[in-house]
Amino acid sequence: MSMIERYLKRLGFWLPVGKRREIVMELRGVLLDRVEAAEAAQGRALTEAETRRILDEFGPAMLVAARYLQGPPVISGMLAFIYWRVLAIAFTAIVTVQLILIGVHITSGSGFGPLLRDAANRTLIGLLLGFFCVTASFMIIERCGGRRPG
Amino acid sequence: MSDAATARFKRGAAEALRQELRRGTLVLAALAVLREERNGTAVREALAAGGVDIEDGALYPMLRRLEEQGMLTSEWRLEGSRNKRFYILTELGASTYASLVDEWQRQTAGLQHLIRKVEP
Repeated sequence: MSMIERYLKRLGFWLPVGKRREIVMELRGVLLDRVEAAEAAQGRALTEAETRRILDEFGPAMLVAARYLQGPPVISGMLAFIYWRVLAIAFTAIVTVQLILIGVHITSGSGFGPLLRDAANRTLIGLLLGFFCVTASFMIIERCGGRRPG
Repeated sequence: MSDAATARFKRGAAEALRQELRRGTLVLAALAVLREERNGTAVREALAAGGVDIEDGALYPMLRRLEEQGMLTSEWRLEGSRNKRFYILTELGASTYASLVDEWQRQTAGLQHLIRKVEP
């Protein structure tokens, strides 16, 4: 498989199935035209490095595919700082609660090994749940909050 | 931050603002050149002739998006040995283009007014 076909395969992977064939066909034509024009200018076949340069100038496959899929962000830049801050606070609270529980269980004489294992499991579940709740909340705020013009 | 780092930061910020200004008129430029039927390569060349540079990796997704929005229509045509997609404005695209031109002229007049600091 040529370098261009490998690039198009990576790009096509990120596209919806219904649009993939036409988009890849169009971009294949564009890239082959670029290569042909460069070969005509140089009077010889391009090296791998020169072909790679054409692909680099075109753009990373995933980024180009993403441009075909542009939609509203999950969480906009406007809310992003607040989102990360709330997430950090939530994670800190979850870990702190687990450390307190570890302290309480140690003082009550529970076995250390099982204690740590249970605490690690609870922390992991807590972090995942915290991430889900915070992210879902901000997604709802993003969708329902409305935006200022401009 | 060192002086060199500050200077780099400021240059980066200025370039980002220039890019934002150019991005704001990219769709208008594309609609302008697609009053005539062209394929993607011809669109890019026409834009470049007007001082509007755009990467291929950004142009083709934009053309596709404008088509999905009803601004453009396209058809495949054999040119040389290759199938190429040719784009042109639809009726909706033409009327949208006209209203964007009006809006752009209005904003440009307003900005020129601000830049010259002429009293209203």
